[in-house]
Amino acid sequence: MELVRKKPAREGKRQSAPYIFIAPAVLLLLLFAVLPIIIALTISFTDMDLRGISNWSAISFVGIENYRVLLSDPIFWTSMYNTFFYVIIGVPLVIISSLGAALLLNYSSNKLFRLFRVIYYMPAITNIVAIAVIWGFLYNVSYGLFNQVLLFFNTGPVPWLEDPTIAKLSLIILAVWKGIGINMLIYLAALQSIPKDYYEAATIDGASRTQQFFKITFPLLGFATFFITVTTLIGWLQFFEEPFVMTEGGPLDGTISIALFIYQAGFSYSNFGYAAAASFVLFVIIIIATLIQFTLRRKQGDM
Amino acid sequence: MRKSLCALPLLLSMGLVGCSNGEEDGVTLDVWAIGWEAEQLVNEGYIQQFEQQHPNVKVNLQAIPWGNIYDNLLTAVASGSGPDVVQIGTSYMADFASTGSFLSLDEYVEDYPNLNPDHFFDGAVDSSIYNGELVAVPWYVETRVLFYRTDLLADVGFPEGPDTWEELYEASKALYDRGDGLYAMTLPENDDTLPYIFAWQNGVEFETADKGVDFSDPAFVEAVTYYTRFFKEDLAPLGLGLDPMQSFVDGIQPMFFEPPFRYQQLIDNYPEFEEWDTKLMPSKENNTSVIGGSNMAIFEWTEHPDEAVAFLSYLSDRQTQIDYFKDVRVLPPRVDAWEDPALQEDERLYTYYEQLQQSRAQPQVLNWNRINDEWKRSEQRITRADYTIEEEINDFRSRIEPMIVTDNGEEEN
Repeated sequence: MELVRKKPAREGKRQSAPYIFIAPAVLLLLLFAVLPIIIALTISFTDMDLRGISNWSAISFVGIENYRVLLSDPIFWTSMYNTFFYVIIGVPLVIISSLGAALLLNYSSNKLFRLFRVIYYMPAITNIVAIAVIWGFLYNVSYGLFNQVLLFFNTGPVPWLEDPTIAKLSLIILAVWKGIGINMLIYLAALQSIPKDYYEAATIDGASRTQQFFKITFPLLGFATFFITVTTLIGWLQFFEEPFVMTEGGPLDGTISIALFIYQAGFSYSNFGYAAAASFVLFVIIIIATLIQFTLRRKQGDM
Repeated sequence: MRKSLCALPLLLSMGLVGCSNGEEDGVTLDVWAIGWEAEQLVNEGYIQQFEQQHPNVKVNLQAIPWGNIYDNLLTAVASGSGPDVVQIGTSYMADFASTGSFLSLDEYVEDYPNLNPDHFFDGAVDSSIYNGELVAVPWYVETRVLFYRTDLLADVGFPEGPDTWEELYEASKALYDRGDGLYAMTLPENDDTLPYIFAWQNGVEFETADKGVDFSDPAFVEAVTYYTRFFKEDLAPLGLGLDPMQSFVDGIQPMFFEPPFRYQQLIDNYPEFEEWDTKLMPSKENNTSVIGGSNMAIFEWTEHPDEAVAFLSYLSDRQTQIDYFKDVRVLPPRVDAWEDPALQEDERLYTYYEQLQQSRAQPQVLNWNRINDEWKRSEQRITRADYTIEEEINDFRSRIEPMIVTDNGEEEN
């Protein structure tokens, strides 16, 4: 948008040209991003259900009733709690692990290291259902590999997916494993764009490796970290696939996330108005979380 | 969230696309059928046979996985366009029939006697009638029977298997006492049929006359108490992730209540293993089991109702059903099909026939799917979190109250 604003100020004739260039993108955005949001907002004020969807005259406006019910729905609050649990543990874990992996893989670029880049990236492109089947076996209490290994060390079986809190952590482990790859690539790219001279100069000045990391590497990765934090946070606020295929939100609603709650309300119970209301609450949460990060980022930049 | 936000308007806009299959020389019937069984309709030549009998009709069958069928039906109903014939799980019938999207078959019964509900098991017919209108025909059925290990049950004094609730519990205790790591049975947690079966056996009636449900019967509490006791006393282990069939064969869990696919699995995977039998459900006041399976229905917007009905008639023909059983091993809903020797040669399978006569459909109630999920939630709280049964059932009832939509059919047009 800034590009657009700067250029046309001089010549009146050319003013329309940039708009024509961005028009297709804006139109697509309006059609596939803005319009659905507006429709969802509208639906969230109705009692649309399976019968309403086939016969629009059966839909009636109920005002903020859906939101009122939502706020008094204990399952919704459980899903909020779980989602924040996922975010608070998952997001830092993904950032730290992917940064760690990137730093290690940055040591060298010989064949072995390149192979490991592929290996770390593999989970990110593997189908979630395939992953769920494999991890389901790994987590199985009686036959699973994890418990067999624990048995070897004479520690009792862990109910990986059978206890509400442990199940949350199990899903986080799975999602972190899946999420490292793509963020690691971003970090690797950022790492490789740091000029080597800085490190040479620092070494001549007698800076230790730790000092070099905190004074050179980490600050220069600032933008990459910011980008990864924003995208990871949004991703984890929408945490859906893992609980959907592994636990269906159970046991005792221990793993249900807001996104899964929305899915169930909308597509299992055909309660579209209610689902739209919940999805709008999630939308607002994501907007707020993202705005906070942009504000923090700007403050950092001012310093 | 992106998913859910975009999908809604997508559903709405589907209506604009619409699909028609008008052909000059003949009629094309679009059919949605579900899963592996559907593919066998083509692979085993049923579609081809129908096309030979009706040279002007071409059947375009699409096999849809079980996981997707609900979403597909939803889009079809939402857009008011879809296939002509659709296979539909019995538990979805009420929700979709209430939208008025299915063609009423009543007027066709005279010309196509195969559609006559009298041919089918009573329980199977329940799910094909909505508000007194015949909207589907049963396509295949399944029900639960008791599987037990003859050798191990004989060891604890029940060589013929348990007949009643008390015997089931006693046998379970005795089997559990065999030693560490050994249990009595596999009871699926989060099950949305077995608790209802036990309740029916205790004389509970959930369904009200106006298509609502009512869980206030004290006998329901009693049934749930009996059912959850197996979990609480560890007779049926919770959360061990044991494979039901493997642990049955190993003797770790020598009993379970299973639909017919398990019968076929046991026969196929352990042909040498003979120490097992099937038996009717243990009884209290009765020995009711649940009847499930699929129906075939026609969408009311079809442009070829006569051909579609002919297709349904072909599928529910006695001989088709017997052949289909031989090829695909799913149970025919037609009672007279069971007179065929192919269905009688294995006594363990024939138990299903006896049980099917003592089986009923899940309540044909709106939002049943959702009420079920709430029930699973309550069940977990009872078995895993030590909520007391009475309180939890009260809580369950208060949670589902707003979901009970009664429909007496007056608004049908």
